[in-house]
Amino acid sequence: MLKNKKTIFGLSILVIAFIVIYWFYLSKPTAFYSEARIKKMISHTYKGENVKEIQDIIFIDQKHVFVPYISTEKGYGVSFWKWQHHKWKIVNIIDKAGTPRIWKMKPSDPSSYVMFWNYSPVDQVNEIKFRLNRERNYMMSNENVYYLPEILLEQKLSLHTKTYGFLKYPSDWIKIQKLEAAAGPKENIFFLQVHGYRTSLSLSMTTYDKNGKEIFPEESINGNDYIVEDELFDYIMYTDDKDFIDRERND
Amino acid sequence: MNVQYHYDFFQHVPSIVVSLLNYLLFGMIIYSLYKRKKEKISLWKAIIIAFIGGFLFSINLNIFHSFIQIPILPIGVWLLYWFCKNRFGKVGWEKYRSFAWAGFYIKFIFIFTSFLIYPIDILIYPKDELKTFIKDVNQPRIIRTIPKVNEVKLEKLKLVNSVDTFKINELYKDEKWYAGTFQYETKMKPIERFPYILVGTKPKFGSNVKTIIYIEKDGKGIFITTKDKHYYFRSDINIISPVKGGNNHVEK
Repeated sequence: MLKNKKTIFGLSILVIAFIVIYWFYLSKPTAFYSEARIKKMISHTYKGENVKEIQDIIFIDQKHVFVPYISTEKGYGVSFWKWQHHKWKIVNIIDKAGTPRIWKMKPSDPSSYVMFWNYSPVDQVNEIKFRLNRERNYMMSNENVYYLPEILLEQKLSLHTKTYGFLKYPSDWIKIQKLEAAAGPKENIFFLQVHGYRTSLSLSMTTYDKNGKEIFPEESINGNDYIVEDELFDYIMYTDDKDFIDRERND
Repeated sequence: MNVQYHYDFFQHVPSIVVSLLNYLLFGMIIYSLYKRKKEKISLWKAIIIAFIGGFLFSINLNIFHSFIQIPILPIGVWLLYWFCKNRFGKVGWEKYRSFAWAGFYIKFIFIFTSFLIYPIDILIYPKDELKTFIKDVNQPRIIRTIPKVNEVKLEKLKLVNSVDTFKINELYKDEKWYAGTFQYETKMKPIERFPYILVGTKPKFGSNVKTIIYIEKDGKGIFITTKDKHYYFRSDINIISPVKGGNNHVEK
């Protein structure tokens, strides 16, 4: 009898553990919140930010959602949501998203990187160009020379009359980023070119109007982040096209 | 056996070979010591004692491309001494003492064996041969890493057949390129000399070389970088061809 009780007790502990683990970590996401609920949650999380209009609800994948919105102050903002511990949680809110961010869902895996933006129509942004860049550099010591070729990958895309959007890391970028992590230069290598260029890959971007002319999104920058999870978001630096063209000549 | 090398151990054949040699030496030394002992303890005990005797505090150095551990403090021996003395008394410790110290001294022998890794590596994986770095070309793809050059594709057969024609070369021999890239105090630099990256190839099995493989603009040079070294190979054969449809100016 006693043995039986013990077995039952042990089994029920196991079952409870299983249910808890399933509930918090493995269960399929439930339906996403209604627009009214999203508005409420944003202004509840980020005091003083009131949402006038939800522009879209975009599932990046099953567990990550991107919600661009317009605030009552005419800010074109974005919010990021994640399914975690059986709940849809806000990961980040940005009240003006004209400086695109990269969301590293799994920081060690570049294929999980996604870039986001939302521009005020006042800025008339029609196209964005993203760049993944590393400067050429070289090192020379008594026994060793080391040359680091330049890398410049570009991805141009049109906003298609939408103010907001996202771009998953292109496959070539993923490949290069992984190569760099596995076989890129050691951190303590001393490079001789001292222009302040980084010897690791960095992201930058430029915006254009509908005539293809470079345009700086004055109205959409200087947004504030209300970050709930910090390490997962990075700014993407704005750079003029000129910075890249001037450095090279055709030969 | 506390093997630590600056290679990814299980992907590096020379490290594995030397480690096996280490185990063999360890076994032989302990066994011969065990045979000579009059007061018998069981063999498995002797081996465990010697193994624990090998726990130590060491100074790790990189000399002549080799990672070596110089034993300093015999932590394992001390632990065993403390444990055996409490448990079996001074006399009991005498039975185990020589095995514990043997475990410690064997580490000095390992210093010499670790010097073998680098020469073995050079022997099986010569770094002046392209086929060390590019052995299998399964699903090759060329990524254009500079927007100003043309899209190209790899001539897989040409690469496979001409691997041996690529000879190790001096990167900085091209003086005009060197001067333009590094010496002139100008913002205007010549276009990158290696504007393509080749992916989808594999190095020789067991070499554990991690590389980025660049291809020269004219398709006749292959430039390989690791974390701290580079290797430049040059041939007369062009291994790339322009992708149709682009306005190409890559010379054949």
